[in-house]
Amino acid sequence: MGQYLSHTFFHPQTGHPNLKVLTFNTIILLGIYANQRLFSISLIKDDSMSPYLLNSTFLSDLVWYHKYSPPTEKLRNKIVAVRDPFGKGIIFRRVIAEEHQWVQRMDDGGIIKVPQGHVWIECENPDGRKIDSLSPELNGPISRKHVLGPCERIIWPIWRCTSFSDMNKFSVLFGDKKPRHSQMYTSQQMYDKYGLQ
Amino acid sequence: MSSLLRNLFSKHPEVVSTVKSTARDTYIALCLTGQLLTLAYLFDRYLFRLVGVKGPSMLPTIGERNNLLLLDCFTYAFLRSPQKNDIVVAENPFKPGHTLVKRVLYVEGEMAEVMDQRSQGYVSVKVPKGHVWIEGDNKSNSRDSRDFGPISVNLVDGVVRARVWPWELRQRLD
Repeated sequence: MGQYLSHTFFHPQTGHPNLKVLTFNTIILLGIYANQRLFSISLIKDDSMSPYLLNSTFLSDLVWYHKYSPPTEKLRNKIVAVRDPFGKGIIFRRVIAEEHQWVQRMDDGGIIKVPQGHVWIECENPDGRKIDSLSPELNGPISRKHVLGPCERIIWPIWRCTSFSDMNKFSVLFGDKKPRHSQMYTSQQMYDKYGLQ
Repeated sequence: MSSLLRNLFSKHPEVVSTVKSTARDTYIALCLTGQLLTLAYLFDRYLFRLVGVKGPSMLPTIGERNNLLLLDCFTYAFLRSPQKNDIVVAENPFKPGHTLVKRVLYVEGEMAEVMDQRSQGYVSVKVPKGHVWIEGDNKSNSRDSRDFGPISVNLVDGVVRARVWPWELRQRLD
């Protein structure tokens, strides 16, 4: 066993390291690191983001998302991957407002300031609402620590392969112009409108 | 330039072997460095690490400054979720990049007793699924779940097992 291992990693006569094995191990380890820190993939499990991300029995969308975003990155209006605060798993939501911005809730019209280090996330599908800032479980902004990073593109099934920036740019899904999300106000807009600071 | 190099390599073949072996050694060193850094990251993330903490919020148990604690990340990653009386290191939900050292008082499904400043009385808060209620030992000087509510288990890094510095005060903390 020891001889087999040493012959795998080192040349038996010269004693040089086996470069193929070394390269293979390095690629495997760097892949594990990238999956931990840089990007990963996840399957869609429910209908909460329905027009954008589809769920079905056999061919749910497979989403490539980033696992790192710098704390100063502007995430507003992006679809992000969020760690589920009530369990283990990844959920996908749209960021409506970031820290120090104001939100007028869609359901009861209440006006809230998103505190430091928090974001306001919402589902796309008002009928299939799961855990988000309007749902009774969470009912408020969520810590920025739960947000992993923005989604890059759908990679499976092959006919739904789209980049998320293209999806936002060329979306013709909502022709009815009905508001589907809460309204966001910056602090300047809020000061001009209501005198709130 | 290329003719110069060709002349050099044809007249002195030992230069070629030197360049080749140097490139090979550099490649091996880079691969091993990458493997080492990745393994060190995984070790820190999933086994244990030393954390330096400061602040008055855990005062009788953990001093105000010059502390080095042994943080066990393996238990919460693979074995169990936080339990009562664990001293945990968690991420501060309001300040990205800052951490908290607090004690777990209530776990999911329990009712937490908290002083309400408006009504000047105690109210009960239910800790939701997948959350814990953490408070410092120094109740008068601690910002914890009494301010921001229960925090998710996802924000908890690990459980503090021992204090290794100051060396005179070394001690198991679980």
